[in-house]
Amino acid sequence: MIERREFGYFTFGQKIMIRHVSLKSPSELFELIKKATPLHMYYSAAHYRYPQAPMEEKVWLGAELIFDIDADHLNLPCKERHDFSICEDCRSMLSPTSERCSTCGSIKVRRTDWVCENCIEAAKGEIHKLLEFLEVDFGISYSKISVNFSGNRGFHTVVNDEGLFTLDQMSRKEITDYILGSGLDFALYGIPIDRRRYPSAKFEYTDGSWRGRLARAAFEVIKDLHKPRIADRMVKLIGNKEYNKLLQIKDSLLKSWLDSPKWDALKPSVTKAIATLAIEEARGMIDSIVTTDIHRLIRLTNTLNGKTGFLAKKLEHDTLDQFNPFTDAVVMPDEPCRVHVIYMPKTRILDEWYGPYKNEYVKIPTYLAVLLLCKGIATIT
Amino acid sequence: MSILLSLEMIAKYPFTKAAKDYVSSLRIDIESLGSPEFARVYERAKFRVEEALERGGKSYEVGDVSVIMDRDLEVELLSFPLALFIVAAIDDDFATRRFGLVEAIRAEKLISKERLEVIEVLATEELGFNLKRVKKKLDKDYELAIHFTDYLREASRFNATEWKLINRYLENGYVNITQRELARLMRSSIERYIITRVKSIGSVRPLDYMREFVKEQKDKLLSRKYKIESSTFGPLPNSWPPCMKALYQNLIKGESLSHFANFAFASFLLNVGISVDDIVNIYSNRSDFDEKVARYQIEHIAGMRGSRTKYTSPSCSTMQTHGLCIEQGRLCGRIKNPLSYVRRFRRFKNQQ
Repeated sequence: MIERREFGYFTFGQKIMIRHVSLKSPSELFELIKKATPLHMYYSAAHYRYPQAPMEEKVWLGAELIFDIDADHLNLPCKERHDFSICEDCRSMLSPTSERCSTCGSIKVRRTDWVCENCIEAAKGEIHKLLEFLEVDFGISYSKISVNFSGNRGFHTVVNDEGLFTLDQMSRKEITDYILGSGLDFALYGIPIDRRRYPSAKFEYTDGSWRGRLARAAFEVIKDLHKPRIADRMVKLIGNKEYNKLLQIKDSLLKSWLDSPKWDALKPSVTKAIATLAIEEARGMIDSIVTTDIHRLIRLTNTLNGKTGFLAKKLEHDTLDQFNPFTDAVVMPDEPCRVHVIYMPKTRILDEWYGPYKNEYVKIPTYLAVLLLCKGIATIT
Repeated sequence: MSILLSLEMIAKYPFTKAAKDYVSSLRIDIESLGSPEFARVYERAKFRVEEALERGGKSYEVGDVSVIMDRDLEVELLSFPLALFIVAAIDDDFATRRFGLVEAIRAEKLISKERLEVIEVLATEELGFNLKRVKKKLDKDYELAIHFTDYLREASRFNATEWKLINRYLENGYVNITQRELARLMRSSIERYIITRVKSIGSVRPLDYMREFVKEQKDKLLSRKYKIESSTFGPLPNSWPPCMKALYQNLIKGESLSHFANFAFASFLLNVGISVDDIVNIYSNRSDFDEKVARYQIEHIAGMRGSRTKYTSPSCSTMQTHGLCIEQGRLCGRIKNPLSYVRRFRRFKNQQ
C-alpha cells in the first residue's frame, strides 16, 4: 500500500523537511532515494486517499499503531556520564548542561547525546515489556508486530493489524495510558491507599491485565527493597523512618505475600508507595506523543539514520536480545579516514575499542568517522 | 432466525435493520402518514421529537414504560422513521444530536431489561460489536467481554475513571464488562447511528401536515440560541490562544469534549475572569447538557466547592500530551501556559 502513504525527507544541509511526497511503487521510492540522497527518510504510519495533498485535504483512512521507545526518555544514570556539549564557535567540549562556552563565552552551545550499550539494553527491556502488553493484554499476534532499531538510541514498534487501523486519537491515548500505567485508580482496584473502607479485593499473581501485573511487580518491589534503585525512590515517597521500618519487616512481609498480595497489611501511605513503584516498574516507557499522533511520520525501515550513519534495521523477534547497534547496525565501509575529533568518549564499535579522543587528529574507519561527523563532534580535515 | 424478528422487538428497537426492512415492506410513504388513519403515528412521532428537544429524555430516564412504548406496536414502530424525517426537516444540528441522544437513552432503558441472549444478538448483529462469553469473578461477576477496539470506540469518550482502559480487566484483546456496561456502550453506538440516519436524509422541506409543528420547534431552538449568545461575550475574543479558541468553537458547534478538555477550557475561562453563569451558558449547547451538573463542576474548578482549590489552566505541555495544542505552539511564541498568551496580549494592547 505504498501509494497510500505520505513520504518525507531531509537532504544534506537543508533544515526543512520535504513533505507530502506520494509514490506509486517501491521502484519509485528507490529512484527518489538515489536521486535525492536523503539524510533522513520518513514515511507515514497513516494511509491517505491523497497523500500528496496538504494535511487538511489528505483524507485519513487509518494508521498503523506505532510505539517509540527512546533511551533518552528513560532517565538512565549513564546519560549523565556520557552526554556532553560542544561550543559551535570555538569547538571546545563542555559539560552536558552548559548554556555558555567556558572558553570563548559563546552561547552557540550544542548538546550531544551519546549512546552506550547500557542505553540500548535499557531500551530493549522496555521493548520486552511493550511486547508483553501487546501480545498478552491486547491479544495482538506476534506476526503483526515488527520491531526496528531507530538508528540512534531506541526502537520503533509497528503494529500492522487491519482491525486496529481506524482507532482514533482518543482510543490511541487510552492504549498509551494503559501501557504507561497512567491514570490507574487504586481505589477501583481495591487497594487501600487511604483510610476509607474498601471492598476486600482478591489479587492473584496469575491474574492477567494490570491486576496481575501490579501484584507481581509489588512483590518484586518488596523483595528488592534494599537495592538502591528501589530504596532511593521509596525514601522519597515515605521518608527515611518509614522506609527503615519497612525494611525491618521485609522478610515477614514477603512470607505473608507468598500466596497472594496482602495490600491491607500495611499503613495506607506505605501501601500507596509500594503500588506506585510497582506501576513504575511494570509500565512500558513509550513516547505518548508518537502513539497518539495519527498523522505521524516515522523513519523508513532499513534506511540510514542521518544522526549516526547507522542502519535503522528491522529486527527479527529472536534477534532482538542479541542486537547491538555497534556491530549489527554498522553498514558504512571500513576504509580509514582522517578526521579532527573535538571529543569522543571511549567507544567500542565492531568489537574494537577507540578513544577517548579529545581535540586531536585521528585515522579511524569510515563507519566511525561518519558517526562522529553526523553527531557534529568531528570535522573532515 | 434472529430473535429480533418479532413486531415487539422491532418496535422496541426501530433502528435495527430488521425494523427498517419491515417498514419498507409496508410501502407507506411519509406523505401518507399525514392522513387521519395514521393520526396516532404522527402524535407519537411528535412526542418523540418533543421528548428529545424539550425534556431531554427525562421521561425515559425515569423508566416509565407507558412513555417508552406506545401500546400499539405498529404505531410505535412507524413513528420512528417519521420522527427521523421531522428532525431532518427541523434541520438544526443541536436538534439532530439531541434526538440521537434521547432515542439512544430510550433504547438503553429497554436493553437493560432484556435477557442476555437478546442483548448479545443486538450488540453483535446490529451494532457489529465483537463479544465473547467469559466467567471471571473480580469486584463483580463478569459474564461478558468485548474486544478492546469496540470498547474504546465508545468508552474513550466517557469521563468516569472506571471506564479508563487501565482500570479494566483486559486479557487477550477482550475487556470484561457487565450487562449494564454493555448497554451503556450500545447506547453510544446507537446514538451515533441515529444521528447518521438523520443526516443521511439531508435537508428536506417539511410536508404540509407537519409544517406548523416544525416551525414551532425551530422558533423554540432559535430563542434558545439567542439566549446563549446575548448572555455571553459575543464574538470570539482575540486575546485567547489558538487551543482555547478551538475548544470554544467545538463547544459552540455542540461537540462534546473529553473530560480533560472540559476541565482545561473551564479553568481557562475562570482564570481570565469569566463568570460561572456565563460558562454554564457556553456549555448549554452540549446535547447532554444538564445545568445542575455543569454548574457543580464549574464551581468545583473555581474553588467554590469540594477541596476549595482554585485551579489554574493546564500548562502547554500538558495540553500537548492530550493532543489539544494547536500546531505545537507555533502560533503562540514561547509560552508555557495558555494564560500567558492572554496576559501578553493585554500587555501589548495596553502599550499601544
